[in-house]
Amino acid sequence: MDRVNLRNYRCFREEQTVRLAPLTLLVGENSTGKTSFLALLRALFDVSFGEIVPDFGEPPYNLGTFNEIVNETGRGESRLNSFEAGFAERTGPTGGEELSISVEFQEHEGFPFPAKTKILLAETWFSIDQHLINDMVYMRFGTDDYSWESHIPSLGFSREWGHEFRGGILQAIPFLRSQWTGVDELRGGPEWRLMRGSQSTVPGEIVLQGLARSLARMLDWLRLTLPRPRTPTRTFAGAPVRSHPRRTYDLSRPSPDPEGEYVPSYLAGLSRRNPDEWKLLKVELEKFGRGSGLFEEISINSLGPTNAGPFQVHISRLGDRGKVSRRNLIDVGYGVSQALPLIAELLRSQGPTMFLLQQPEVHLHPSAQAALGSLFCSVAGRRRRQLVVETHSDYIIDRVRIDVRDRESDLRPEYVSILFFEPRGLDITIHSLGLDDYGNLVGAPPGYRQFFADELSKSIGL
Amino acid sequence: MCAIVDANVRDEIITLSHQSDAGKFFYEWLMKPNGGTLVAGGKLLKELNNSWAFQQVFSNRLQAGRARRIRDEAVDDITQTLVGGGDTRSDDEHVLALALVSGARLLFTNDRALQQDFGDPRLIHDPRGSVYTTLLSKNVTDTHKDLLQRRDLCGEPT
Repeated sequence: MDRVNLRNYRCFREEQTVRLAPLTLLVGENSTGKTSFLALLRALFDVSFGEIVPDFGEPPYNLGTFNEIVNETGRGESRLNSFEAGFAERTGPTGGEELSISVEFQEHEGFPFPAKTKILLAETWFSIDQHLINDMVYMRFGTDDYSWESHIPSLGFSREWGHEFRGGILQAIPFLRSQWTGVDELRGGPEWRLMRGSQSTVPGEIVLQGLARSLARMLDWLRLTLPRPRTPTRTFAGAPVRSHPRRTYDLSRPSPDPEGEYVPSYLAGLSRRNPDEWKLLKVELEKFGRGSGLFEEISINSLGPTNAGPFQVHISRLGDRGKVSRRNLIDVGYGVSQALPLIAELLRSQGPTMFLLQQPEVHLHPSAQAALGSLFCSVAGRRRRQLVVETHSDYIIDRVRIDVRDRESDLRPEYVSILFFEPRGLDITIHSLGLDDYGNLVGAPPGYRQFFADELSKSIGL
Repeated sequence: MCAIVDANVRDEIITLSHQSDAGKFFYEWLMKPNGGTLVAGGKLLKELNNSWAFQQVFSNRLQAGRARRIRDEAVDDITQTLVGGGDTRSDDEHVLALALVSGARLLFTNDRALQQDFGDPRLIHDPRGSVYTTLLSKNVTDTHKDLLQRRDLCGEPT
């Protein structure tokens, strides 16, 4: 996602568009909508890539019902019956085209439902409207000049993988995958009906051919980008407080959760199932461990004779005169067990493509927070994963600026976005800040960090 | 607006025991929401950084997007060119170079030779440099106020 827009969502009343980058940092006071913004990103990702009806109450977020999610105007007006959000990203072989998806959420059985979705690629658009009253899915596509429409009955509810699937884009995409045959559909096939356009004449063959090519490109994007149903792609949405360490773990099938409870089992399973990959991950984990001062070495200690037996996670630290001290994860500082789920998830080879992290600095010493900043730069600089990090840590932000300035990773200045959430009365304004090629902050609004300026003046007696 | 602080006035701005009224006025301008942008880099930054209080202020302003750290190598290259040209009265070519590289056109200094160089349009131009000084008055004057209200002292970097 390169850009996100939103309107009438939580504390964001006015339409706003903000820039996302491979590494996006969310900053601002408490209760300014940063976590709501993360929840919205997951919802957009779920609608567009996971074919899942978003659940704004799924951990680590708990935004409540539709009435609690739609903007409460507080101005004596009646409550709104929808909110909108969308995103844009560069696509195509050279990344030179922009594809955007916008979603209108309406109330359905008390919760937000993605009733209308519109995809725009160059001059061609494709929209899917789920009519909640007559349970039909209307699909339209076209340009400013011509549009076509088709509709199919909604399939109704289905529940799989613990998530709800229902109609809309979730149903339209498989339909398009299987039904779309090309330009013949536009000549008046049974599925698609010419609806309207600014042009009064029936489109000629050249126009039809051009439209068919445009739509085919959009469908290619859908086919290539969207996963098949039943293998939903999810974001990694991390909670600020992570798992409680245990002295001994039983091996279990890892099932991702925001607290990273599954990570010890994942590491143990990997070390037994794929020792070569475990070695590579271990090297990366220990590199971070040394850089942060948290640990020198991490190892899995199997208990019992079989590969399915219980295990312990051991951490080694350098003691006095270079002596190595090896301890159980539960016996070292809380920072290690809090950082481990996050860094393991970031560094493992088969992981999510989008990370939504809340205050990853919790429990970490400033030196470890700074190291985390470097890790974010390194991961985001490889461009395979997009990180959106809500943080109050100056150490993380400073380290990102420093690493960009000193070119410590492949993270270029334009790969960093800093979103500042500023309260203005009852509404929140999001400012998009960036870095120049020497790590200087650019685009900061007046008053940005004024609290810190005032505190410093008091601190040095001026 | 972008400003450079010379090392000889640093303590007049940020050290309580040395602060003048005009220095305090400048400090408050740097720290207020709509204030100026502090620019530093190269040899001058090394001189300024001898002070813990300056480090704190500069770091604070960097975090707020109200300071710009300029690449040392770029400043050093222009410094060498100015030294080679031999057109300066002062021996502060590194300060002039910082202005040229960054585009900053306001200088707080009490060095008379540097003031002359900074106001010399052959050296600093587009726009010309302006000088904030407490040589004539340690109190806040209309000249001080006018300088800090200007909005045209961030030229294009060279």
